[in-house]
Amino acid sequence: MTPRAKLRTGLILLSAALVCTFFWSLFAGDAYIPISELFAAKYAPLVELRAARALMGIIVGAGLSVAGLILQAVLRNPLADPYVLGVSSGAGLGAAFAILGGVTAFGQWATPGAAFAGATLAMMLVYTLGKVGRAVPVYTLLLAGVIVNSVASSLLIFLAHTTIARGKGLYSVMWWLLGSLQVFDPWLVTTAGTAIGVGVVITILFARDLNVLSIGEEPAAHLGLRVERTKKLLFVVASLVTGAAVATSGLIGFVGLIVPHAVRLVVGPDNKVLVPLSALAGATFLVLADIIARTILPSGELPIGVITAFLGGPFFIYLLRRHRTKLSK
Amino acid sequence: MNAIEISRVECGYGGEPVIKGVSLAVPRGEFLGILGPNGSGKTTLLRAAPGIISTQKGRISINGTDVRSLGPRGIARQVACVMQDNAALGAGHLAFSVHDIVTMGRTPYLTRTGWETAKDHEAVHKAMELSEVAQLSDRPITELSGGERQRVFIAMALAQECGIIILDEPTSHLDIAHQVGILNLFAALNRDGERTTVAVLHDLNLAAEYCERILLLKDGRTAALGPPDEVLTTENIEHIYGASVLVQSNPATGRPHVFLKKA
Repeated sequence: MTPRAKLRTGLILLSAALVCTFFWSLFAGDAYIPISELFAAKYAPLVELRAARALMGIIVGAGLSVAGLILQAVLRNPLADPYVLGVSSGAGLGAAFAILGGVTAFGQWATPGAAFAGATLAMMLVYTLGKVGRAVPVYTLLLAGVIVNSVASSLLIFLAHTTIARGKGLYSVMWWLLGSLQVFDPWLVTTAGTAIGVGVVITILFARDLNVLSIGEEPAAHLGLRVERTKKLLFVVASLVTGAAVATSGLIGFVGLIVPHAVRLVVGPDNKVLVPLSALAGATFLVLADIIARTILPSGELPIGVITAFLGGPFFIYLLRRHRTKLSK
Repeated sequence: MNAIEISRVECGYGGEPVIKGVSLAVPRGEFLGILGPNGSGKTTLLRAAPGIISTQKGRISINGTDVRSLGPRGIARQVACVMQDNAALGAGHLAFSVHDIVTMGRTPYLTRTGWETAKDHEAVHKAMELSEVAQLSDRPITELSGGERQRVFIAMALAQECGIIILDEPTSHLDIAHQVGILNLFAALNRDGERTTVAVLHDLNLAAEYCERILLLKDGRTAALGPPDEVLTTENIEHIYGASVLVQSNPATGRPHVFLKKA
């Protein structure tokens, strides 16, 4: 199959899957809604709430998957993912700083702006720490990610503890640390949606650059790429998208790892096909994960980050083992 | 017009320049070899020629145009490179097919939104035929041997359809049959007089057999430049490499052949 045919078929199938999952999510949950009454007035508030949640799942799922793809290609590391590399915690720390620290400047832009700044800082830090000479070895990068992750997480907890007195509970921070698609602020969802939409479109336009970069920086330069400039732009896009996702939904891990690899298994590594399909698959995956999070317990709901981590952890080990011979070089 | 013109170039990686004032003109259609001891600046010079690293002093032009005004894409349409570590590199962790990799050679001609055209497919097909990887087309690059992999990267460079090909020890990880096979390919491509080839080679005897002219570098400066029999003399090699050798002519080809003398 040509890449073009793969893309077309994939787009049709995944769009259908996404639409089905979206409608399923309207029914799923504590309160039962009969199919015939989906549009009845008495259920309207509940359906609206669930639709907003699903929409947020679509935005965040697509964003995190594309961020994962960018990092895997640019860093030439199959285990790269915004959560694993600490970019998400960086964004989380930034956002928490804005929320709990009571930053009032920049108005409503404070939280997403701080999340983006945190993501960018963490990205730069991990890259600098992980770099050895001109290369970025797989393991040093992961270790740098682990360090940034744990430092950012402990700073987050510290921040939460010291600001409880101001009336923002530790419980809500913990809830947010584990991720949730609950919509608190429609403006934030729209803003994040726009940022992620722009990020996904840029990534689609740079799909060929991602292909060439995943071969190596030197060959990419010989093929006419402005390597440093392109890398910087793609890092900024990955940070923007991660920051937007984290500012709205907290730390939902491993999506950027699971989704691109699963899609790659089916369609192969060509980013021209992979980027749009991973965005769609990520959207579907997160809405699905949210349905599980809302229905798995007899009452109440599980943080969605628990579901993705439960799937993502073993998947990470699987990838680690599959690539170990190549990674140890 | 010269394909490559390097005049009084100094360049390096910040700090003390590695190349300290080299001038070189490569006429169109020539097969030029660059030799020299480790650290003499061979690879640095190769990276400077297509503008991968910028010059601190001097000027480099490709087909009469300054590299700085050509831009990376412009250069990539005129100069293709095959580097030494491709064979070992294994194209990272991603199982791109051979066809995928060779198609990447078309990058300098492709737009962000468009797909490959019939012309691109034709160039890819031709390149795979030339470097004899057409039968591997659908195989993942990660499953190939070092020799096959290097041929794939050669096909990628050929798909760029450039008049100038730069090779940095393209055969260093390969056994003798593959070395000769690959150099024969470039010699054949060079024969039409249109394609210019500049190769850094490690093996003095391979260089003597295949190159029309040889540039001998030492400490970032030109030590000798000319046809193999003028450059690869006993005195030159003993002086530049510091090894005792005996140079005689290869009975099969008449080219100089370097024999090592045990101390």
